[in-house]
Amino acid sequence: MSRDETPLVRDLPDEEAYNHVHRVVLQSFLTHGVMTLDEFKPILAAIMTAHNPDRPFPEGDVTQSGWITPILQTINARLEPYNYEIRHGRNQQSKELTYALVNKTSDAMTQLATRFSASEIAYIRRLLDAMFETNNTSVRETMAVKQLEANNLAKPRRSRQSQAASMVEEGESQVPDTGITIAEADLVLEELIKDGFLQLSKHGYYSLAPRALMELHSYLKETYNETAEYVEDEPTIRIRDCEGCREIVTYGIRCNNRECGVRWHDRCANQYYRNKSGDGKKCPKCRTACGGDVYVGERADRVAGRTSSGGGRGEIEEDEE
Amino acid sequence: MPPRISRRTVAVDGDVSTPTPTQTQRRRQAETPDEDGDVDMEESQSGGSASGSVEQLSKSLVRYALSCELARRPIKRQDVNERVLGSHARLFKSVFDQANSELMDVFGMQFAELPKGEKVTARQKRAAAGSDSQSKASGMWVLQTIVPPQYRRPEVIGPARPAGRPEDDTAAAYVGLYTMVIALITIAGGRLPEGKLDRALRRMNAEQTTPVDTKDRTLALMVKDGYVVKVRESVGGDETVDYIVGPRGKVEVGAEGFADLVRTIYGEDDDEVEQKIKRTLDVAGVTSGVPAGEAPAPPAAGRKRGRPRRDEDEDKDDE
Repeated sequence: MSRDETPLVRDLPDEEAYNHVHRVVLQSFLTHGVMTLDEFKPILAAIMTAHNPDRPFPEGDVTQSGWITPILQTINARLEPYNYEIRHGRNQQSKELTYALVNKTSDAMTQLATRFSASEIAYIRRLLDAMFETNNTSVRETMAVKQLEANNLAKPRRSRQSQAASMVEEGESQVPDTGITIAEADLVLEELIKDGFLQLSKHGYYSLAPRALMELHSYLKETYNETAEYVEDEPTIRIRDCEGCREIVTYGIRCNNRECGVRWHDRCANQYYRNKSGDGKKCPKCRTACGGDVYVGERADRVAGRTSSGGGRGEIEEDEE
Repeated sequence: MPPRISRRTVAVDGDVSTPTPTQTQRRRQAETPDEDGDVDMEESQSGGSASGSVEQLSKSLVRYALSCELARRPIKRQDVNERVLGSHARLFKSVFDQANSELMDVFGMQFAELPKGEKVTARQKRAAAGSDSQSKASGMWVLQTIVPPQYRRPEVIGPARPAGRPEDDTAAAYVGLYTMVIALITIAGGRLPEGKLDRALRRMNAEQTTPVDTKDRTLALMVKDGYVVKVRESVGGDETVDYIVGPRGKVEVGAEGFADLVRTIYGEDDDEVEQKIKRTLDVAGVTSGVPAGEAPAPPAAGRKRGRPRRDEDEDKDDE
């Protein structure tokens, strides 16, 4: 639909060409935090139109390669000294491309701490623990939390090791965490969804949304992936990257061999195995045939809950551009 | 939970076509952040190590300012000294100027100083009269956009995310509500008794809950964010509660925001409306553009009904 006349090879983004378009795009990201490609397109079109009122800029002319990527590259070059970056990632479930302004130094938990109280932060930590420890076993990597379970986490369970994780660093660590009410927990969840940190699937599972994965990337790995204490021990790896795109997988598939560490996003697996015939659909690491039916994410839980393993398999991929 | 992320980005005066780092030009010849390599001799001598250079410190200040703004907290000079400058507190001026020009250049924003808190109650006024610190500076700032008005479109930097899901409207609703409350206070002459505000909110069907939260918590949030100030005063055993426009309200909404709201409701290009806007603003002591002067609003104005005029006597005392 877009008549993209941009040549394949372009010059490096011109530092000098930093203008109001870039500033307003940046302000838009500061205000909204996260935007999907479809949300961003009309905004960029409106900005381009404001920039040059004589030449209205139709939304259809906004293309990734022609406009979005160069503009964001220019902005990111200027943001570098401030340790901010506009990153993009694909929503693992909807496969939508999502852009988010990410603070590269302070992990997002510190940022969240400015908006949530200490006991609310403790709740968010319990929620993350549930996603990546309780509901993330070697048998079933659900990495999501059901609504009822999210409610039950409002009050901390006593004598659990999550107690240690829920310890609030700055002060207050002596005060026992009494948790929050279910109503308060609901509001926190609502807020996190609104800010694009969490998403609630239609089957009632809370999981991390693209923004959280982009912002919490290193926090999650540092927190939940443990290096082995002794050399002979296997390190505990709870969060793995996609074999294709090297981004965290919290929703996708895993190698049919349970011992194998290979994980895929649906889209990445489909792309990788697309042109491979039956025999070729083997795990690049352990050579086990890939069935595409051992899931990571809420489908792992749903499949286990039912006898059939239908649904979700071999989803038709959509190419963005 | 209140909407914390989205915020209204507000206009400073008109046509800043290109952000020019005017303030800093005297100290340093308009250097852009990408020329960070050239070290300012003056600063490197006084500043010492690289980590304490003006360049470095101003980057930290920019980051600090952005994080404050996202949480709608004012940027306080004292906090800047403690958390950004540390032992380099005496570099405040140059770091602040440098950070401001970087904010203008990269982010299209600038620091806007908040007006000092008004001395409204009799006690505050007496205390102010006693000490003659007449400094106008509050030492607190917020960030304001300086991109030209044509870029400030609601879909671009409006309060709500563009997704258009109904629950996202709370951010917009909050902007609408505090603008409305500020307008009511302005119309009342700069100070509005709680009872009158409640009555107005009841007419708006907002006496119990608003799209943001319960009415009480919405007002508490406005107070916390500095859009309005709740003034409690007890005179002869009677406690009265009034609302006045807060520092952030003056800077972010101010005379322009008030006038725009009235124009939206009563129509633009109407001389009578414009005259009334001007008269109201004059009465409320709000000057256009720059935050309002420190003079408290004339108490008698616009208070025809409502609570007894409890503060009249004290005002006489003060004068």
